Amino acid sequence: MSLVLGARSARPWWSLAIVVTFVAAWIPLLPLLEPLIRFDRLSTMLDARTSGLLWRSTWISTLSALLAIAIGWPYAMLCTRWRFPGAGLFRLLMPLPLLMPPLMVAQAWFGLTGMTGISATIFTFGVCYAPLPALLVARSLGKQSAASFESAMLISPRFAILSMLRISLLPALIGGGFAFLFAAGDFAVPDYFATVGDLFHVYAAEIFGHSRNADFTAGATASLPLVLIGLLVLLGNARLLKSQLGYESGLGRHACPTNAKGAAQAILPLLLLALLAVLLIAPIAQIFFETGKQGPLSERTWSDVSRAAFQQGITDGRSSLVRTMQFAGLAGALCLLLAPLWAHLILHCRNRWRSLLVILLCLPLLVPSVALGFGSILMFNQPWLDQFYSSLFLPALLIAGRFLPIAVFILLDIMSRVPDAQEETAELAGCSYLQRLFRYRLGGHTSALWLAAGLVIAFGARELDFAILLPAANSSAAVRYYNALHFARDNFVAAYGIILVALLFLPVMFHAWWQSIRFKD
Amino acid sequence: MTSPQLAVSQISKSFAERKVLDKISFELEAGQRVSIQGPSGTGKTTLLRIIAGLDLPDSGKVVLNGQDATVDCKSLLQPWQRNVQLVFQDLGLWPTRTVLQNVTDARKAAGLPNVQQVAVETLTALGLQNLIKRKPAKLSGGEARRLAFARALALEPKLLLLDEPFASLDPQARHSGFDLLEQVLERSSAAVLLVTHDPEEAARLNGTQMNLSDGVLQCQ
Amino acid sequence: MRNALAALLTCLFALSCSDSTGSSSSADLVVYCSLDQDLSEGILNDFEQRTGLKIETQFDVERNKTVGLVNRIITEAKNNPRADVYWNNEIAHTLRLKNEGLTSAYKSPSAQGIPASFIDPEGHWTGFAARARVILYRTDRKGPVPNKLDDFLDPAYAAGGAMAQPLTGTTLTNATALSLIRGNQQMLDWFEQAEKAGLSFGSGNADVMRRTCNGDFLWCFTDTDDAAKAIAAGNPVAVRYLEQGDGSLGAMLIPNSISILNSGKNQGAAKQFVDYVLSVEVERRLAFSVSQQIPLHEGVAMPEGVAVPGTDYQVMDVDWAAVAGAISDRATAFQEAFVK
Repeated sequence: MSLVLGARSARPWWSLAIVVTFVAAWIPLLPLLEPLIRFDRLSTMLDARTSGLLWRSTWISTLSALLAIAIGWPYAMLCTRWRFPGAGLFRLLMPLPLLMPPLMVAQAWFGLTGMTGISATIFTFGVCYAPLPALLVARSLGKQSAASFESAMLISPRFAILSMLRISLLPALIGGGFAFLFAAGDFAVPDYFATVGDLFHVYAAEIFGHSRNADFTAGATASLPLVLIGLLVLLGNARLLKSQLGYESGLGRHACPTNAKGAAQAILPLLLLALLAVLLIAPIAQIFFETGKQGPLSERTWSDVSRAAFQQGITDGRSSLVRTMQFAGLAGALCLLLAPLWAHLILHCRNRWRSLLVILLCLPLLVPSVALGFGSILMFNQPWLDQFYSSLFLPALLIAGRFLPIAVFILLDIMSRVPDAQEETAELAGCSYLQRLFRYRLGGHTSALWLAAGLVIAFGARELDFAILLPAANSSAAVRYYNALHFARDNFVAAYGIILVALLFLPVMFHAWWQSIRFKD
Repeated sequence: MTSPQLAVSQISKSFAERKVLDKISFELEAGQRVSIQGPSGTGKTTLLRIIAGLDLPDSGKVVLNGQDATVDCKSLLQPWQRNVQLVFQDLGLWPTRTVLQNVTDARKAAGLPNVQQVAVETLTALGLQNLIKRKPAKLSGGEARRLAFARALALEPKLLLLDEPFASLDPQARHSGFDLLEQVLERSSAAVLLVTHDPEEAARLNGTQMNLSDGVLQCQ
Repeated sequence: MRNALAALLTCLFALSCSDSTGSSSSADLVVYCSLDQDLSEGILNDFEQRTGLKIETQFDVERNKTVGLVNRIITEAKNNPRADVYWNNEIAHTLRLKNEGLTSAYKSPSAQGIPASFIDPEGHWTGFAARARVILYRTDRKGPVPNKLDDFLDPAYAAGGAMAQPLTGTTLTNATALSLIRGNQQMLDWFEQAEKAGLSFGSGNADVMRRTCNGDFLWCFTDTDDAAKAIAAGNPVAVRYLEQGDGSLGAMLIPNSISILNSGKNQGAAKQFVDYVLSVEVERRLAFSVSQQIPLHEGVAMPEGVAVPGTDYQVMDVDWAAVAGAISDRATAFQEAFVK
């Protein structure tokens, strides 16, 4: 063990990362390639009904992405670049809506407004994924060069704001691109709004429908068009990202937030509070209310019902929560090792190879999760793989493979800011590869490492679609939540949702708290 | 006849369409000092990185103490096998490690004996004995530079590569920097190769001076 | 750092080995279950505690309404069969498995007391703990509530009513059974006329129940388990049984069903499990659950206010084998009529 860990060359470790990713993320995608050799499958995918559904999914996802940008962009701009009471808190809460299961947000908004159908779906996706553009915009505004901002200020405040808008336009679009990807692959939210209101179908539900017939090959191949659309969006994002890097200042002073003056001191917090109410407060309050909601003839009080629902959520749902945290935690732990290796590999690759690696790495994120489940069943449900197929390791690997790109991009951003000389000096001194990577490249940024793993755990814990299909993940909290919602266990569902959200929020809140302590130091 | 400490032969390197090094050849004997001067962007750092094994040339050969280290675009000796140390322009100090750990970590990694003792001696020699528990961020510019030299020295290299060691300093600091360098070189028998854009800096090394321009190396 | 990584790798290995539910190879029994996880999980856990046997369970999602797991059993049988027992929350699809030759015969001693019409004569499946198809209506609003199925065709009734599309679950089973009595085309016409009369179609029984409680509809055609939840939550609703009186069809009763799969590797444990699930004790437990499933064993106590089939209301006679034979074709026909 010591000999392996002490190896100085990077290549064995990079090879290990690629092999593990191959098993975790690429093997389950192999069935997707079938239409390329079987044209009858291809023709089914191109019939009028299927292409109509695909078109519908595309425009629903596009509108969702635009709404996410419309909410996330101003939110991030206001709380990053203006200083007023509570700005820090608004910044702290910015990523949280991303961690709420979209199905829960859908349930909350249906309960609040009675909205259903396609418009409700777009609204829910917009609200759930608004943090994606918001986080990228906040990051980019935080990196605007002070000189560029101040020279714009010398011309006019309006020009300065325009300079902020210009620098944050591309990150907003990139965040919107990712919102599109998540919205296009989600079947549970449209399905929920179709069940509580007028029926409609989306392409992801069409893919999920194949699980009913247990035609996993058809399900996997049906997701190919979505993957291709996702790939186009990803390539567009990569291009935008390249342009964006030119606008950011890695060195020197960064522009500081401006003090809000006069009426702006009251208006800005109120505006942000309104946005936060839509993103977080209203859905959570509604779900909390639903924990004790009863009909008019009920003799039990709200608090009695709510208490009983939470109790049931903990007693009945505990095993699922434990199970979920086991495989999500395992996935997070895997990413603690895999993500730095991948980020380092990409950092050291030349341009063309780098693009190829990024695309390969992102593929599992582009595939609807349910198709990943189909692929896993087809590839891993073999008599000689029985032990592996039904072990926790399979869902953990799939989660790690699917959300690895998120962890890698976080670390890539951090690593690219660390001077190469730090690591190269260690290399010349003869430090082992892992020492160079973890101590000298990532040493000062362990919180980023924990954030990356925490996000993988959070995304893994709310993962529903492939968990439905895989035996080892079938008794997960997300599946229990989904089933209970459809079985009309409204109080239990609401309480369980709150418990789940608290669990998902924890890693992010802990990270934010840790960062604030470090910042004070 | 003993082999030269460093023999660079016909090294070429291009970035995109731009040739930064064009069939560069020179030799460096043990203990010899050489400075290469040239304007910014002429490939001086690239040359050092190729010698250290951190980059590969498009063609050419690097021989260290008679042993092939790099042949064309193949690295035959890994950076840590070359017994070469490079003091980077931005020093490359390890910000999460203390002053003492910056030196002990390096010596330990190189597998050299008496880690603690040699580290303390080297730091004391360069006037850092009172700062050994500090992190690099808490050091002044001059102290940080001393630490970078101390770390390189503690590794007992046969060849010391210096990349613009005093580039960002004001004239006074640069002057004391050269005094420091003299002090360092007195303690080491290593051959020294310094690259700089500043003719004065190149001259003060008191060694052979060369000029790198348009990818071509010329003796002055 | 080296130690930290070694510790991390060891943790990864340990976590992957510590599997709380066990794998199929180490589990003593693999159960595929389409009854609501909240209802069945406690029963499965109790069985584990009593026998010391370890169960791996695969639950279906409500959206797939049984069909998903049945198709999965059929598909896996060709490749790598995993399940030992199938616990279905309805019956027609269990018979499909029998017709595919995937079940094995077992006459459980616990089935004594269950009416013969709910037991396969060859022992391939046994029915227990049933639900009835009923009308759930609001008691706080005035308006006509159907007494018989053909009332659905009258706009006076239909305009305020809703039912699930007959594509899956108990609604499909119910519609298939009715089409065997009325004829296939007649049943399709019946749905068309009901829609024209103003009847709304939702995606599931729980959904139409929920919308009735919310006041969107005056009544809905659903199952007793959904009705029980609506009443327990304090909604102003009540239950009415359709087709009662001399010469009427009676209300349809759809039981859970259980069968042992012949490709299972743990036949002994499977029999033990079937005996437990078919016991009076489990039926009583399901009767007193939120779903108030109707016991089929004679004399099992029921919660207060729950009607007893055969005593309090008439039950429809169903030829389950015929329903199972027809259900796939009927599903396709309804799919074509409803999915536009």
